Amino acid sequence: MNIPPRPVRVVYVIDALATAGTETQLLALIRDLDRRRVQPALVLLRGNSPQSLALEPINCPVVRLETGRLREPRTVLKGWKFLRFLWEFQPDVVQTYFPDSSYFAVPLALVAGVPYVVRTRNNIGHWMRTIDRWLGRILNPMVSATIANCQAAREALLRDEQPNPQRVHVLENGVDLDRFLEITPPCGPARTVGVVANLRPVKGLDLLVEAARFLPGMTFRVAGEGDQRAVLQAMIDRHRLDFTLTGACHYIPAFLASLDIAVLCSRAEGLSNALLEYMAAARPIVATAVGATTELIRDGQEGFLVPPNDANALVQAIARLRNHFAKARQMGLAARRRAIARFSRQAMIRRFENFYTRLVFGEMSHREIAA
Amino acid sequence: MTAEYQLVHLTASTFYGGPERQMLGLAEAIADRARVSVLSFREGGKCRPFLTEASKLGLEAIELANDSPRFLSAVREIASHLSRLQADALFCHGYKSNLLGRLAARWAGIPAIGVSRGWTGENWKVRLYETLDRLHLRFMDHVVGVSQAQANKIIGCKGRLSVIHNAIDPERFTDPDPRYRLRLERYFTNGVCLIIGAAGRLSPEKGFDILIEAAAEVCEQCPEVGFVLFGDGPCKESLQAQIACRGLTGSFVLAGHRTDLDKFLPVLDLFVQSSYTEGLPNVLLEACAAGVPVVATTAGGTPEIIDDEISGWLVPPGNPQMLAERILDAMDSPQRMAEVAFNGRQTVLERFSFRKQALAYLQLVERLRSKRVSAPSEAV
Repeated sequence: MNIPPRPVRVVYVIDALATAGTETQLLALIRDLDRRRVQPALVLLRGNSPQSLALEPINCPVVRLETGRLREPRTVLKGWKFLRFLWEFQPDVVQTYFPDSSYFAVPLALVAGVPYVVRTRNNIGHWMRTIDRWLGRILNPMVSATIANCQAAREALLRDEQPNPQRVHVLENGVDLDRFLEITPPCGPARTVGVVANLRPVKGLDLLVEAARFLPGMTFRVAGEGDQRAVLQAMIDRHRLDFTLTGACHYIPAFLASLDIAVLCSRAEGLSNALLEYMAAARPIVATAVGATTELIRDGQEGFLVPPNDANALVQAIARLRNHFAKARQMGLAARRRAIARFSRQAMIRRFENFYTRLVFGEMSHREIAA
Repeated sequence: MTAEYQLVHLTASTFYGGPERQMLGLAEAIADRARVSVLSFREGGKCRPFLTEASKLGLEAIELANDSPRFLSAVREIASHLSRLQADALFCHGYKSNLLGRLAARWAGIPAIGVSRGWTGENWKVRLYETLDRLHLRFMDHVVGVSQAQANKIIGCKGRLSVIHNAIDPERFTDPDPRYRLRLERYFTNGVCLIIGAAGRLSPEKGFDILIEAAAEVCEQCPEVGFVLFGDGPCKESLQAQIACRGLTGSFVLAGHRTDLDKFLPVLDLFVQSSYTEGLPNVLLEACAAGVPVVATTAGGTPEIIDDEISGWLVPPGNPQMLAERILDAMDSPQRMAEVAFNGRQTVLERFSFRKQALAYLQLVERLRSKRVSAPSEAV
């Protein structure tokens, strides 16, 4: 391959800008992509609402197509406008978000001769209608790759639309860790132990209540709501524990700042968001060794790992953190570092930059680089 | 168009490195006002890469036929080149050039200017030569230190000493190859997210053993970090052994000397310089120009480039704990890293341009020439 080194040009197509998850991720991506590696442009299907106008990025070209519903005849005109933009900008990649943008932009990108078309699918798709599934299947042969933000989304996509599995990639999101980075790590002997979790049996909170019986003098708090509340409350009352179920929490950083030890006692987990937040907030952590947890926490380094379903191990780990608070503080800081390295927005942006580079230029051989 | 000045560089080049780039960058920047030629001792043929690069730029590049121990014929040869080229000034780089160049310049009747970049002191032989060089510099017509710190070390040259900082061409980093980040990540066997780089000749004064100690601490705290060190040199084996012994195989990579370092620099997350001594480190200017945040020791002229906490982070030399702490601190705030990188780039663009350096050199040559020609020519 003999392509001259240059930034990859990417056009993002999305319905409109909003403050929801996907849009926020996209805006952060566009704002901070290294322009020497990737040059972005943004196309909005609608985007003349005040909110969308206010959110438009300033450091990247933005095109508003102002289409109405896709079925209306004037969409054809808007399609022509989009094509003209593609011919002018000469992108290497067109990336679409949400169904409407995909139905509109994927065929047109193909007509314009854009070499790579990428779709994103960031949810499990429980809202999808049958027609969406069928349209998805029609689109799939036209796209070079589909990006899912987690393994579950990838599996849902494989099940719904049966695309070529090799073309479906997982690029993990970056979490907005910034609001947790201000929190100072705890100092002094630990008193308060807490969990952020829904009150459901899979979260293993009954084990923590059990453990609390053997940790007198410590306060326990759980932020979250769920079906198991009555059962847990009954257990707490029976043993007269200092254990509060605070209910759904509106501002997690403040809750985490009040904890000396954060616990993840789940019986099963994927990649726990709560754990990432504990880490970013530099809490000393006790976590069960399930799912992706073991990839993030090394026992004794960023926190203590315990086997699932073992209340006794929980007691011992919490007691160890309580008794060695200097070490606990160090572990909290180490945990923060790892969360930043892998799950910060910056890390996500690197993943996307690498993805485009690999897609457009392919892997580079040793000989090529020596030449 | 005839050039106003004829300048000649004399060096003993052993590879195409920092000082060599400086000479060529300067030549390009003053091409409209001066013609530059370069002379180099043979150094067993190792001078060729530099001379090839120089001829590519259209400069006259000459490999000297005579070398030590035939000092007299070497001096005669240099002098004959100087008068043939009608040189206005001779710039000498390094101890051998200083000594022989000065004699030749006297012979040809032009000023000899010593450019002092720093002494490496890498082994006793070099240390001896460098001590002699330090004593000998006072006999030069003028001495240029590449940093204030270096100028302070020069003795007996009062009134004939000036500081002209090294320069950098930021254009080299404007369009990097995006594939190099992937290439960089493939150096590491365990998936890393943050890549910290260092570069330089693998010799003791660069303090890479300190860097490895610091890396052990950093990787212990955060296994997502990888270190890559570009360069070759006498310490390669001992460094490799140290890496293995600290259990860093797979996360600390010796990538060897690479001619495409310019492509790797911009895709690093952080650049570290661990030297015990430095003149004005070119590689730091390069890292800054490439937009990479820098953690460096306070050795030599480094503090003249980097403001601690503003355009980089500084640590005392030879202290692995503090180096590791600084690296970890920097990593804790991606936002700060971006700010620092931006400030670093601005500083280098503003204060270390070849245009600025070229003007300073031309003024110096003008001053020396008018001193020499002095009153009579003005009276005419």
